[in-house]
Amino acid sequence: MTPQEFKILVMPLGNKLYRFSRRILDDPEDAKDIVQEVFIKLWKKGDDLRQYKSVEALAMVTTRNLSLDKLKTKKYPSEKIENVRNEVEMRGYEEKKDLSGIVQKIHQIIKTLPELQRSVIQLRDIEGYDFDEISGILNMNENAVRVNLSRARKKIREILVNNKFYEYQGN
Amino acid sequence: MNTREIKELLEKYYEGETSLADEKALKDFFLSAEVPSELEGYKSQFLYFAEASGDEISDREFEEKVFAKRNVSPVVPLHPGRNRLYYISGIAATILLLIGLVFTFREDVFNRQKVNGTTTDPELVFSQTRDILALVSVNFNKGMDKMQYLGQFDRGMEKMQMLSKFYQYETLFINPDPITGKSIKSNKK
Repeated sequence: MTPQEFKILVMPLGNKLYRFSRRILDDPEDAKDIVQEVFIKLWKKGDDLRQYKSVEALAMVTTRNLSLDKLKTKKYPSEKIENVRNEVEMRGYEEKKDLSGIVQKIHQIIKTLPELQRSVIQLRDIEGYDFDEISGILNMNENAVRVNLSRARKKIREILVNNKFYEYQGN
Repeated sequence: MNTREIKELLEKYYEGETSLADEKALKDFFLSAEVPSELEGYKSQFLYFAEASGDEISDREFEEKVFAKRNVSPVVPLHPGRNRLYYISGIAATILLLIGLVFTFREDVFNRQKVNGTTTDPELVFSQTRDILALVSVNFNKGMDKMQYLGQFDRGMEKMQMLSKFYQYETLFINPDPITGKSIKSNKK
């Protein structure tokens, strides 16, 4: 694989990989390092890279594995769900009408989800992968992906409703 | 798309049953200007999703950095800290081993020097050694002179042999022959 091919085939994935890693690690610098590592790993595969059905899926899987490794080694402080709730509540009333403030809160709410749910939200609601691709990247069956996705979405709604960011009449 | 349809889609959305096309419709709806007030609460998350998908690596030279790094060091250790620790402790162990050996060896040398004194002048050492050897030699010769007398002892021992013959004859004279009942003296007569 020539550097030119690599630049066309793999490099454009950079931002997607970066967002995925950042969703897992919540640190822009670490996410950047991970992307770099992924690129170097893929480059070392050389011509074997052409044999993969989807270089993108391979890149995403590698990104997740490296990010999870990092998550284990660095002992990331896991965001306490209660902290975020309190924080959201305290400033809730002033920011109720401030849409951009609420949008920022969504980011924090997602941070409180377990890694798997964060990853599913990232892959589905933000990157728009289909279930087949997601089950490949996360190495789990489609049904499990749907269950995790549903849980994650409901959790976000629950926290928003609890903080009166929106009315919810229930289904 | 009317409010009722959106509500139905939302219900499916929370169960994880919407297709990508459904979700695209939801996103388009909530990002549009007219969202009915009863659904306004849902707007923030779809805005967030749209915003988050635009998050990019801010470093403009990122690509060049990757290419540079790839050419210089294609091997990126997964646990650089751990490798360095092994490396350093290996060196430390070797140094400790060497120091240990050197000290064990040198202690013997120190002790020996204490016993023998610390003269290092070779001429002095030579003359002292020569004196000591001369002394030993003189005394040894003196001892050897005395040994000459041992020869006389030998001569004395030869004379003692004569005594044993004397004894032999004496017993014959004193005690009679047990068979004949006669003494040699009487036999001669």
